[in-house]
Amino acid sequence: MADTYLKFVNAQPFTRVAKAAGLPRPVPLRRYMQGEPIVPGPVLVLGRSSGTQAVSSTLLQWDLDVRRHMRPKEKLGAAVVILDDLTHPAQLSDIFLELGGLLRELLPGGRVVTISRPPAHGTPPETAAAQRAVEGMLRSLAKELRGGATANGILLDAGVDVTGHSVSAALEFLLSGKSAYVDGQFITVGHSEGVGPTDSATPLSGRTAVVTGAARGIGAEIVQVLRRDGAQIIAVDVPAAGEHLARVANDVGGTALQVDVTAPDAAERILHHAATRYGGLDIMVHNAGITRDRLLANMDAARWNSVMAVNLESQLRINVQLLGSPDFSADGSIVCLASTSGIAGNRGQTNYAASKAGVIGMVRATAEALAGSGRTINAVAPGFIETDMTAKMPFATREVARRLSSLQQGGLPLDVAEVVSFLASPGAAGISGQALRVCGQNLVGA
Amino acid sequence: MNNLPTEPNSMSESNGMSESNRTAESDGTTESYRGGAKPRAAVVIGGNRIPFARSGGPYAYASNQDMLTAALDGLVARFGLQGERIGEVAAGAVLKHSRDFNLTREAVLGSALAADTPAYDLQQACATGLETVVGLSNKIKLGQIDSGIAGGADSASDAPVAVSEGLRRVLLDLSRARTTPQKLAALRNLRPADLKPNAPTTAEPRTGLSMGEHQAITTARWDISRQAQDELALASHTNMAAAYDRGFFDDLVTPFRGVSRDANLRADTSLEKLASLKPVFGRDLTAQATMTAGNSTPLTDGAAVVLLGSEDYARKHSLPMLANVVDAEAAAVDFVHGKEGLLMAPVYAMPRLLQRNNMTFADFDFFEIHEAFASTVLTSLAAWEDEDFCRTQLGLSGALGTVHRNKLNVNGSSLAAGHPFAATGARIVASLAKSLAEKGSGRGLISVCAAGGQGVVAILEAR
Amino acid sequence: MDRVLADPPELTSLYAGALAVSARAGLRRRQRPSALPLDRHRLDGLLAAPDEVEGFQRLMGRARGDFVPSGYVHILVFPVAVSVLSRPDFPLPLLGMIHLRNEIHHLRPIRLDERLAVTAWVENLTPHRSGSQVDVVVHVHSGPEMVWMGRSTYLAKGIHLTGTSDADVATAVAADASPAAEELPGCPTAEWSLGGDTGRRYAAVSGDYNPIHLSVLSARALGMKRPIAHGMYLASRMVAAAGPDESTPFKWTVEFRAPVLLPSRVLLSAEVDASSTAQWRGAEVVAWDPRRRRTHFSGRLERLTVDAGAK
Repeated sequence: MADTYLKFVNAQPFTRVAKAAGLPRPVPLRRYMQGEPIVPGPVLVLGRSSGTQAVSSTLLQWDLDVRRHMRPKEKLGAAVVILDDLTHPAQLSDIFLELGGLLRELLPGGRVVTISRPPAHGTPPETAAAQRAVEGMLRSLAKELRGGATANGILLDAGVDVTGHSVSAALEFLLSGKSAYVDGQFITVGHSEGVGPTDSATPLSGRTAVVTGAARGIGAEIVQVLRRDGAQIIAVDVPAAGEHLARVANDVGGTALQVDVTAPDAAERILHHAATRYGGLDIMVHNAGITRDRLLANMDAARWNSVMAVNLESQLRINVQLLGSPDFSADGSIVCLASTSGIAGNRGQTNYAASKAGVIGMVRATAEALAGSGRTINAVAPGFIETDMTAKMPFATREVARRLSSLQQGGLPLDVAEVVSFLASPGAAGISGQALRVCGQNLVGA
Repeated sequence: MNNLPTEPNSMSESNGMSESNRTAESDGTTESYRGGAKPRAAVVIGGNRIPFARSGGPYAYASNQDMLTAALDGLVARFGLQGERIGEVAAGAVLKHSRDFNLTREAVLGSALAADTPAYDLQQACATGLETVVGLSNKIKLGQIDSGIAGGADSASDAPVAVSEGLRRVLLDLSRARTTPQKLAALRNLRPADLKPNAPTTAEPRTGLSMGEHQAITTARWDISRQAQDELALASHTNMAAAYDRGFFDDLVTPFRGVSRDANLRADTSLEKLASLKPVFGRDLTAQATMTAGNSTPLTDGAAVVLLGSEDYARKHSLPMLANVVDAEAAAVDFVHGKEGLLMAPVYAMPRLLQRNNMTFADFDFFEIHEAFASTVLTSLAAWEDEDFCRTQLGLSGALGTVHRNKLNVNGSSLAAGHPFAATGARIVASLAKSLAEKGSGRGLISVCAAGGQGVVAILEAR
Repeated sequence: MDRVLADPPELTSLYAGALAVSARAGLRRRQRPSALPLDRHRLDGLLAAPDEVEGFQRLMGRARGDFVPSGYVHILVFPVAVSVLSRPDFPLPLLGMIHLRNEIHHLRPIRLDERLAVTAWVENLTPHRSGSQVDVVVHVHSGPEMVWMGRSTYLAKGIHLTGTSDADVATAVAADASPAAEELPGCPTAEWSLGGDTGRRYAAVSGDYNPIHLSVLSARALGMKRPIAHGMYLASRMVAAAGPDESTPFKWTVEFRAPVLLPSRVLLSAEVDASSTAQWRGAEVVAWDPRRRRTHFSGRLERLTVDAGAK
């Protein structure tokens, strides 16, 4: 599971060799550590709109070193580009060229975040062109950045201001090490509700979270991060995984609930447990998932059906009961694990990709139904994540898969868990119906 | 100060054990009532065990402590007891290494429970687990503790292998010897045969007969047929397999070392398969041998625990209350001189328990009779139905009564699960308490026989 | 007429002497005496050795108490008895004699520190179906008081002494139960697993190193396929299992049938007449070979009331 190559090229004599030979040079990513500053250096805020000043004030409140201009040769921690009032593609030139002139000074693990608007229905063509242009620029820039730096964007739906609570929350998340493996992605903020990022290191305190598939891998990591962020944990997994599940629950002072999510009474048992032991449920993380890979030509019913049952149908069934239950709180959030396979497709994974794409469809539709309710639902689509599962891939396949992303390495379960925790946090209340990729901008897919 | 009983006067002395406890719910809480004082209720909150496995199987290298710790950790995870100080933990093992002298406390220290949780070991052979439940329940009723974990573990795989008596004496002399000649003299007494270790046996120390041979005598005496034994064994397997399939054990069992169901469970067994097995016990008797590996429990490794508490404790911690521990009775018989069968003690305990509680078999919806052997259950049933036996041996005016098979071991018992001696009591208590909670009403009777001619019976009551 | 021994005789040298005698007998085909010696052998001041008592009790599965166990008294007095049997004028060969029966009156509890006087003699030389049998009688006194008396019956196989009539032989044969249809108890109450070292272990506590008990080789030398358990080991274990505590006076008899070849598994049925140990009244014991379904021995134990003693 250890990325030996990553260690190798970062060992002194080999760094130069790799550089000279033009080999991929992945670096250890900057990840969140409690007590560390949000970004490793000054934050430059670029933009011509009135929102620029507002964002600067927000950043100053977070005790960041905020600049409107950089001195020569000064190192840069992050650049935030405010583009919320674009009306014509010609407005992009100055601001992007200014950004480009500073990129050489971007520190390892640096960040570029754009804040712009997606083309809405009835937008004039020039405006829409400018707005889409941002996406193309940013996705390309993400591929150009090195040293673990990432570029992501925030899209503001109509009526959402740059100072909206969830805009700030998304900005903080994207600047911080929590978004280490999120690259070349856009987060859409749909409305201005939510309480914004709290100063607290435990944004989830007072919240009760269920994590399915919690016994191992990404699920176990989600449990750890949700607990770190203050949530009470109900760790759920199939009875057969109970030994690991107990360890995971005991690690975080949570409770273990052995339930097969495909059981007809799974939701009932989860809700009963949450209601009787914790007084209700605030966060539901649908993480349980299985793969039964086979080319479609060789696919059998058992493989297809079991993958669909666990990965998709269980989520559908549980969500119906969850959303109809008074025990699921009025501002509850659901986070569903999808996969980049469900976006881009993957050979041998027709069943898996179908289930994961289905999750994204379910999330979008459910989010529409939930609009204005205070509850949110989002999907997280991991790419190549270093887990027991990927460790079993053939060596060559695994090496290629790792280097195919802009960050030239696989992500960690922690990276996925950080995204889950963010989407489950009160700050993300304005974000719903999204399928956020955690893939290091893998070449596969959009 | 949190150890005060719910009612300030409930610690006043009880004036006897003769009165009925069928009074209840005067003040909204169900309290077991006896005599003048009114002790508070002791509640079964839940249980946990690791799947049981035949000895020498998947747990061959697990010690009693490993298994007990795993059972505790699973319980802690189920009920969120991490770092919690439990009033007391009581457990034991029947086959016990000398290094396990403080088994339960060591398991607590190795578990996710608070290190300041006191613990003690108890041993009453196969009744160990049930007796720990009884003891801690009584402490809860008296207000001495608010919460307790009862249980047991046994490894027939990692059973203590003792040095021979000869080697023991030589080693003793050697450790006392000061000079080289003395040491040499001590060693001179060592004979090659002394180096052979003494493997543990399940033989009764006073008779040299294995438990199976003892039961074979009882089986012959009561004329229990092979067919009846095989049918009971089959029912145990099918009941337990069905219980697993409907998720009954999802919150009673936590997997251990890759095992997630009782390894002894044979969901696909049949009367034909059982009938094809050769008898293993009673082959020296004049009566036909009927006891096979199929209708006898195998040597088993495993551990089980039960979480008990006062009602206040359960409420304060938002924990479920499955059933009340009402009462229990122990008995022993003189099997050494062949007067009574080794495993017949529960038969004697039962009428005493029922009489004290003013109950009959008709008052119960579930009967959990430990299946040491299929014929143990069947001889118990036969004895309670036998008018003459009940008159002469139990001192009753007639037969004690009939246990209906549809109420007997409804989720399987030891023939299917296996029987790690000290763990069986906690397995039964947790399963029965859950059955009662599912039903929402009624009572359950537990009967556990034990080596040394002992037995313990107990009553649980739904809430 | 009593012959007073100065020291306890050494069993090993008695056996060695007997071996020499039988060897000489084989060579010379000496005419055996046809009558028993009338002399009684006496040894005074005999004392139980606490260590040995402890070893004996451990072997029997009992705890060491304040009193001498009945079986141990037999060990204590046995060399005196053997000294009679190894007299040159004793008509039967000591080695190879088979233990048929024991009857012991344990008249009162014997403290570990009591000095005992032992008197042993032989009597009742009678013909047996397969040889000649003889009783060895031992009386044990503490001061003037008789505390223990034992009668052991031995068979010398194949030795038919002159002066016994065929009628006697016939009577003896008739008295012997037919071995064909043995009635065994339906259920055992106990099982003994006797290892190959059982004879050596009992020899170690009793000092009775009769080669027939020790090993396959030494037993073969005496015509047995495998070593056999000491009769007194079996009897003492029976007493330990079914008998009263050491402070209760009792009488016990044991009849040996088929020898217990070592190693082997022996089943026992002990019917004890007692509601608890304190009110022990007696017991009947049968021990048998579960495979061949043959009786090894049977025993009867009964409580003695205080005045039932030396009659």
